[in-house]
Amino acid sequence: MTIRPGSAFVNAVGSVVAVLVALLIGAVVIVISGQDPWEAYRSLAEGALGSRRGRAETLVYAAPLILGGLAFAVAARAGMFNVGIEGQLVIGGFAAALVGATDWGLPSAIHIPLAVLVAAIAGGVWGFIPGVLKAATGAHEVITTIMLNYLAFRLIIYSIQRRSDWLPVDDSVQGTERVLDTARLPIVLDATRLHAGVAIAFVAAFTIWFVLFHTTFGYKVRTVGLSEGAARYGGIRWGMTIAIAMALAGALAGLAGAGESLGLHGRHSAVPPGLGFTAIAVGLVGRNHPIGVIFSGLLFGLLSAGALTMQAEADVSRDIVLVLQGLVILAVAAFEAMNRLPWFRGLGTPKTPSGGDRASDTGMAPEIESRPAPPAI
Amino acid sequence: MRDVVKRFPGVIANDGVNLAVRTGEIHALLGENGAGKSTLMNLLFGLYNPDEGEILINGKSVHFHNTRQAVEAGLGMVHQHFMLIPRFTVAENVILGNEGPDSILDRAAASRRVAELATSYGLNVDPDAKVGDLPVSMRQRVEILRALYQGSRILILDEPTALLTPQEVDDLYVILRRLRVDGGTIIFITHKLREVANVSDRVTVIRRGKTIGTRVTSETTSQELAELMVGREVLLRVDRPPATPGETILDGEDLRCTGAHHQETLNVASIQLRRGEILGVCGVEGNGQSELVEVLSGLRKPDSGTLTIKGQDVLGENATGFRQAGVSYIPEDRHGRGLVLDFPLWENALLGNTERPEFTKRGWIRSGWIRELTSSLMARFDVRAPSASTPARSLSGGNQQKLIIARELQRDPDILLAIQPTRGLDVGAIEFVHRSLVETRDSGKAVLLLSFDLDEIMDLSDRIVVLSEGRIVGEFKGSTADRAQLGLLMGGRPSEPAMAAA
Amino acid sequence: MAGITRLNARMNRRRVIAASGGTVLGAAIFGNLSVGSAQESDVTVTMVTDTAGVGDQNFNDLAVLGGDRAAEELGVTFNILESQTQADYSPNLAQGGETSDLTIAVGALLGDAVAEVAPQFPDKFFALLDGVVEQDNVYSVVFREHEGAYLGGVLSALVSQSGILGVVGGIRVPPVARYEVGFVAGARTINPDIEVLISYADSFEDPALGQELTLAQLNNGADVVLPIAGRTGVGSFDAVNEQGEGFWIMAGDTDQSHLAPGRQLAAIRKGVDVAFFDAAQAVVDGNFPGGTVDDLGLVEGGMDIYAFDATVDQSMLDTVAAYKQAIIDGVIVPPADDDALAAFVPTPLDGAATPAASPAATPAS
Repeated sequence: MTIRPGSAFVNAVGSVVAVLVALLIGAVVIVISGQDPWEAYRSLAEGALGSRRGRAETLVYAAPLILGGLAFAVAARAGMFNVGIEGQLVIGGFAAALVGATDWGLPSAIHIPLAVLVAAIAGGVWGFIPGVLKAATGAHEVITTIMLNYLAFRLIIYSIQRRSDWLPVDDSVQGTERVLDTARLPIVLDATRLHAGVAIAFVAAFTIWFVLFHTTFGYKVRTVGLSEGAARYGGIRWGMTIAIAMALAGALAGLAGAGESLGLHGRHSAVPPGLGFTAIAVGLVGRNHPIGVIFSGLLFGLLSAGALTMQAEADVSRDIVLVLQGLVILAVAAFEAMNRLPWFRGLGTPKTPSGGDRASDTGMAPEIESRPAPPAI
Repeated sequence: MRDVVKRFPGVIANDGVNLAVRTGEIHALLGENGAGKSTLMNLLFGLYNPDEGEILINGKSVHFHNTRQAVEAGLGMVHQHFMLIPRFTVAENVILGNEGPDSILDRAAASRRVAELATSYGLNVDPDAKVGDLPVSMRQRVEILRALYQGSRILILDEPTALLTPQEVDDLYVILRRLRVDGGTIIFITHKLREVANVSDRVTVIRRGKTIGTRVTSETTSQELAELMVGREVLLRVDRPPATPGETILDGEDLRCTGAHHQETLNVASIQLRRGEILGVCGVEGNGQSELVEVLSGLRKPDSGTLTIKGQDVLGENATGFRQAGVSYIPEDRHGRGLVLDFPLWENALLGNTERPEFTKRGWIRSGWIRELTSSLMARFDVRAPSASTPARSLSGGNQQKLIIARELQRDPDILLAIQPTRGLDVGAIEFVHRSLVETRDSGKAVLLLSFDLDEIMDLSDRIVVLSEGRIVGEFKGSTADRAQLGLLMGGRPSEPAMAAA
Repeated sequence: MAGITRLNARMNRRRVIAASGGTVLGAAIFGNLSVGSAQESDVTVTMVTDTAGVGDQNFNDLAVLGGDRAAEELGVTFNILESQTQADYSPNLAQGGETSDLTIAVGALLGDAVAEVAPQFPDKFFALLDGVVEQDNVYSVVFREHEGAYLGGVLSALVSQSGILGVVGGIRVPPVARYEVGFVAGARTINPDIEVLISYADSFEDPALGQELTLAQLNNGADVVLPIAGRTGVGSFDAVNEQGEGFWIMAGDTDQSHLAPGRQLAAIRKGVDVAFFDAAQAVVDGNFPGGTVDDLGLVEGGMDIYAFDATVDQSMLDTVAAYKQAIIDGVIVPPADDDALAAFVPTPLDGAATPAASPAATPAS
């Protein structure tokens, strides 16, 4: 294996190192706040991994983050910064719950797939809109996805408060009515909350990996994301590609919402869960690689699941986990930036096998900067 | 430098290099892109440590662990990409890192010292000018000044002419000779034979990380150096049998484009490509070349006109449609267009080929087949890279260009659009590209060569058209074209003395 | 327990302010409380917050107040588990079920999770504040917020110079809706022409938005604003602070005068802390009312109102006290929802003070 910046291997090592650094800094924060970091991390790990239930909880927390992380990764591969995962997720979750709470007398074998499909479509539409807007008008996706987040939140609240006449919603809990048993994703491990939606996340990750790296569509997405000029040159339709990629991203986020509604909570609640924003971090830490997203999703899930035990046993505020998550993101970003620094590249990862004599030709970063200290004149 | 070896994972960048530079000479270090020249200089300058061998300065073995030690030993380096702070003045940049012991910076004194130094070497730079306002050639002088200010007696210049105009290059030569007169030693890294002949006293050629030989410049020829550099016999001028033009395969009439401000950017009354012929398009940059190329490759739809390929109307098709009609296109912008730098070579081989059944099958990429194809193309077109999985970014410009040519010719096109195909390439690669173009022509295909290098156009074209302000203002048979006449037409004002482009 | 200890200190200080600065209205206040002396108990009580968490200056903090008192007076061990997301409710409640005798869920949104977790721990007790779950080991408490809010509306209308009041809501969940409706009804009783501006932030966790909405109301003429918005309501205090003299805040759920010193007219008190304490006491005493639902209003002492500012003079206090008695006596039934409000006929009591905004106002001395 060639070691070079940007390779999957270096990225993976980078993320692992970044996580370790974040845990180290997190320990300092815990010490400063007057607690025992060892005890905190021990209870965190024990809570997340020490029991059957804890491991199930880790997976339960990880599932929407993995799907959301994929939603970020797919968009990012197409060169789009998808800040709209939260909106895509809640609109998907809401749609799934509406379908799930409606009694058509459907058997599970139809009701579940239908609700899941509707969630994917709803999320997909929510992703497709900013994609099309960018393709057609150049409207920046960060703006439009943020707008669509609010639109989703408001639409859901409006529906819950004003449309109880024909929608299965319940304003006393600010959510939909409970999803019927025929639409609930089954629990796959007794006495835990581990539902079948978790499997959807893993299947989706491997599917996306395959789509991105082994299909023409994935190739087009990646080409568009890396070089608009090359895509045009290669006859790839940029607008179409980003619009479809965004729709796919939205559908993945919608699936995350479906898992929460149909699997975990049994209804969709109007309070935005914030998962869509954590998912951005999951995507970044996973380096926008589907397999990387699995691991970073599991990491973030582990932190969330373990945090409950940590606050109960080690008496460390649950907020410290938010600090840890923030630190992980910072550390990954810092590592990424470091990767671009010439001295760092030169240190561990010489830039090219044969040394680019002409940086302008090879597109390499400029040569090493040297600022020698003064000799006496 | 004796028997210096530097290894990087997977490759030996310098393999027993010997370089002996005498005090007070201009020594050219000549080699193709990727031959190991920069690595060697980085070793000398303390940026890397050699794995084997030793470096001696004035007979003393030295071991630099950082650049500071190298500077203290009297070395100075002028990089290809300047390490200057644009918002600082010349004087501030020059003394950066040498501010002296006082915490208060005496700008006036610094400026004076820098001015004296500049004058004494004929560098003619205003010490109080902001670096950001200076042209490239002046910034280079600031770099040289800084090295001198640091007390450098051995100056290393890495490809110093890459960004300079011919006039500026001549000025640089004058400065270098002046430095030599004052006892300075100069190592001049280049891959251009002309520069070696013009400025150096002696020249060392390295190839694939090895020293090939050192020559006294006045006792050698460009031909010999080129062969040393490339490792085989090189044709500095392509051998080109007379063309046998066949049928017209591409026919464009009345192609017009307008720009963002409604000004006409292209107005070509008539353009034809014929089988077995190289059509050279020359002109000064910005006279409708990119519009013409984009129209002919399907990237841009002209506002009016007709365009047929093999009798079929192709206007309205996109780039994919043009490809399917038999157009291959070597773009002028390797990085922005021709390649996705972060993709491995085999994925770059797929660019533009996604609709072809050999490459993809029902939406799946046939990666195994493409990898094999890429490997065989790499062998056939001499693309030097560890494997088909190497990212395109890590290839030298020449190898990147060869990959693009390999990909485009692999399509077995009827029409090849070659846009500035040798820009930034070294001798060996240029020869290869030129030979490929002629071979393509000889296999009965139509070639369009667009270049800003008039010599290249005249060397290769069977027919030449001159593009000026979007119009074709002249057409010549390749053999009858006259340089001066072309230059006049390119200038667009035949009544005045024309500026020859590039 | 460093985090919680610090919290205790803060809570205690606030309680002192409330006790010294508040004018208690009416006679029976929280009369059903038995004041226990400090004792030791091996009972463990765990509180699970909603996503607004500890520090919302509101509902959650009020519950913490009750927990602290239980720890102090009953000697129970009091733990808090904060929830960051909806997904945390279940595991937090389960954690509570595993480690404590009584787990108290704060907020209606935890209802689903309580219904899911409580059956897994049949020999442990659960309490749900502000919501109903009918299970044998779950004690549910809901409040008649509209009764307290009615009195808040009465007082606000008496004080208002402009005849315009404001309500800034978080999300219009039923308890919040009851606040809004009761407030409007009370205000209309005093001044039939009163205008009540109503804005919702659709979030309990957005103080910046709360501030914006409140400022908008103040700029539109409102001079007394009732925030019922959890942490969002903190922004309302900031807004009133910013406007200064002549503008008042009517606090919901609990006294928050430290957020806007001198600007808090009164606090509509919701007995969350009392309910919390009572539930803990019941476990200690061995008579936990599992399976029952308590609906607490003025008469039970579950709701009340405290005035905090000298602007509220004795005649106003008397008026409010009179309306309070009328509600306790069943003479006035404040509306609890939109339909009831639409059907509500304001019936002013004879001899009560008249609103300041009314041209015929004759301020009582």
